[in-house]
Amino acid sequence: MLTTDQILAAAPDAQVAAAGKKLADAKHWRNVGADDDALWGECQGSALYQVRVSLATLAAKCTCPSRKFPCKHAVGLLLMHAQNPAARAARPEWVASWLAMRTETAERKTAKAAPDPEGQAKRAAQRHERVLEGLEALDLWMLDLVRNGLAELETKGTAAWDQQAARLVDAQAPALSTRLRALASIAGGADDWAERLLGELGRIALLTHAYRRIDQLSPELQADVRTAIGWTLTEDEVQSTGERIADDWLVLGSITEEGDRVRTQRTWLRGRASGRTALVLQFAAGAAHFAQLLMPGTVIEADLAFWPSAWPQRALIAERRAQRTANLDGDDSFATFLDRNANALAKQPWLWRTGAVIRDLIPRVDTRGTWTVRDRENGVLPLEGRDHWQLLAISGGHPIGLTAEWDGYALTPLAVVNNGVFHRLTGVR
Amino acid sequence: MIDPFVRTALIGIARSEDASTNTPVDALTNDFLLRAGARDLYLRAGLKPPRMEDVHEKASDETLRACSPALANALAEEIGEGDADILRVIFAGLAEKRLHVPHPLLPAVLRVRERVLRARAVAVIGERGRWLARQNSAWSWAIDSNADAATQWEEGNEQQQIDALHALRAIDAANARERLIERLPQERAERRAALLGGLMTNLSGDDEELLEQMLKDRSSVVQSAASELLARLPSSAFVQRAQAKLEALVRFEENKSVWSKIGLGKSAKLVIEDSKELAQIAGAVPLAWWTSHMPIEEWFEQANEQLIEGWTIATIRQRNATWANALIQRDTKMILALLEIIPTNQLDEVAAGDNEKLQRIIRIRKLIAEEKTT
Repeated sequence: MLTTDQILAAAPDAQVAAAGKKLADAKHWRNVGADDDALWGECQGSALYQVRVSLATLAAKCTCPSRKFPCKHAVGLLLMHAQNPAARAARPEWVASWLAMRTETAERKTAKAAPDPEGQAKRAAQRHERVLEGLEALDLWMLDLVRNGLAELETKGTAAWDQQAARLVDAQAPALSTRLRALASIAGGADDWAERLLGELGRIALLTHAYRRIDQLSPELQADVRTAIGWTLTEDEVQSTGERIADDWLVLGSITEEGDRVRTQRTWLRGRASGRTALVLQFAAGAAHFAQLLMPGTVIEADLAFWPSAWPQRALIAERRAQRTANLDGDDSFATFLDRNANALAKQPWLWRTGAVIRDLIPRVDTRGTWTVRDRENGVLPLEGRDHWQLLAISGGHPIGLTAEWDGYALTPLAVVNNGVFHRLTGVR
Repeated sequence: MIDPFVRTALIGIARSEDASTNTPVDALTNDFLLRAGARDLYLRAGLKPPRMEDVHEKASDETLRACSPALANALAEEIGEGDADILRVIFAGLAEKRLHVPHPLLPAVLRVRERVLRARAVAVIGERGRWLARQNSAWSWAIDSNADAATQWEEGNEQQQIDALHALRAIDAANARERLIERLPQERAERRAALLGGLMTNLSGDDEELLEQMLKDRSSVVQSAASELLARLPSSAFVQRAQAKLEALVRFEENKSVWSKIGLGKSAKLVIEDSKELAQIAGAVPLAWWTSHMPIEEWFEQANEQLIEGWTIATIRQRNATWANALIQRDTKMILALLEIIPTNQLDEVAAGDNEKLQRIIRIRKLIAEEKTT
């Protein structure tokens, strides 16, 4: 059963959450029912709306005109169900036909013809040339930086970084552009900014170096280099050719970043049996929704299809079967987690971020406002950001379980588990 | 201490010692960057977190009880919204049930700005809240409050002095009054009025003499502060005077109709003289005066706006649930103050209508009331 908190987290914005709360009252509803797969009801708004929710995927469909997803009616119905489970009932026709249609669409999606292979190869060759030119310009710029000294960056703004990042977009290397743009905020920041910036620049130099000799790499590492530059496989390609793993996937939490036009959501998963860490990237334009609702602290029983890589991490949800809440397993110390991470880096040196689940951590803040977590071996790692008061309040100086995103330097907390209760952290980003 | 490798990068290869060799600077730089990448990779992969003994204290166990998950869920929604009226209800309710704020919600509670809310929050943040507040200087208000009241009265800032007066009144009302009498002549008008408010705690007939004196204060702010308190003392001369004034303004004419004689229809017809002071006067008269003449419903049938306002003031001062329930349907301005008077077990009778805030307050009060007390 989902908690109120989890459902509200799934609402697309605060207005829908607030409106949904108001609708979570039996007086607005009639013909409410549920079975193993679906939840449904009719809500009397300015018209009578039919709302149906698939309990396995939390996909929802409502006859209301709202373009938000899930709409307030679906959120209201789920909230009401969470507080007071709907009585089991026979599935009405309008619910049954929707579920059947969803299955059909999913099947149709998998059977699509590949487009013209010759044209594709030609476009790829053209792009390769442009990328090579772009990387050459980037190399020259980075060499200039190191030749003249990073110190002068301390007082310079972000304009030069933005310019280089824009050039990489023109050179059709969007992923590298994003990574470079993220470096803009490092210069002159934390005490160790020079160390960190130098490291990042060096890693990028290794990447441009590798791309020029890509033929000498293993197919998996070739895929990683191409991904780090910004060559992407379509989801259809991954769906049909990617490595598939069936498992119970614990949702560790998500970070959503607002871009100019597109919102990007990174959701981290950990496979129960496989022990694999997976990253599900979702994109949504404007007010549109993310296709998959992934709530922290739930377990989804699903097949994931992984993008090819020497250390496969990015994945899509190929088939989702059921959903339930779960306890947290996870690494028992930083050493266990960092060993795993060292293995990953040995195979895939451009791995940028990864998901972490670690038990028995104690968060602390010092008088300068620096946040850290300590594990049971008294190892200390920094936390990203300045506001982790909620984490501290939940812990009270006692050990808690933490899910987080690790970028090689610091952990960004996603959720806390304390005495078996999962708390999504709010106000961190 | 900066690593020599990083130092080279900071000053630039062109200015570094390496540049003095025969190798061209470009080749040197290229090589340096690649080495920086490899070095970073080894550092990331070989990261060993520094070890530090834990010297921090842990939070003590709570002496207050935890909320049920259902209540905690509801509080998460409401505290997140941060509505002051609703927070006031929540803090009062939790304090009464001896419950503490659920831990994940403590930062939101400690960020509350209003003074009145903070005063109430202190009672419900529990051990964990105080532990948290000790680590954030912006939250010191949550831990300083247990300073000695007598010292605060002498040395505290304006607000602390008022808080201290309340505390002193709770310990020894007469002694606190003496301290106040001593202080009043030194203060300007607004301060005199504000300090008088401190008498609200443990207000009794013993305070009447001082308050009567303050009615003659040259400042109208002080006069109204004194009358506000006097109106809460049913046996005071102030209330007697108000009642006499009221009786001059409100008269009854016996209903001589046939219906009345056989026990139907109204028992009396109400005649109200026009007076600008009617609401103010009615607000100071015990509500029992009205019901001794006629049942509430009949009063309502013949009431004007001024009377409704007066009854509302009287109801809040006298905390009369029956009147609050009758008035809540009519008066919108004071609706939350009226709702506060109605006991939780009578909330079902309140018709909240479309008033969303009222509905939310009723819901949260009922939820808190359902919490077990053992």
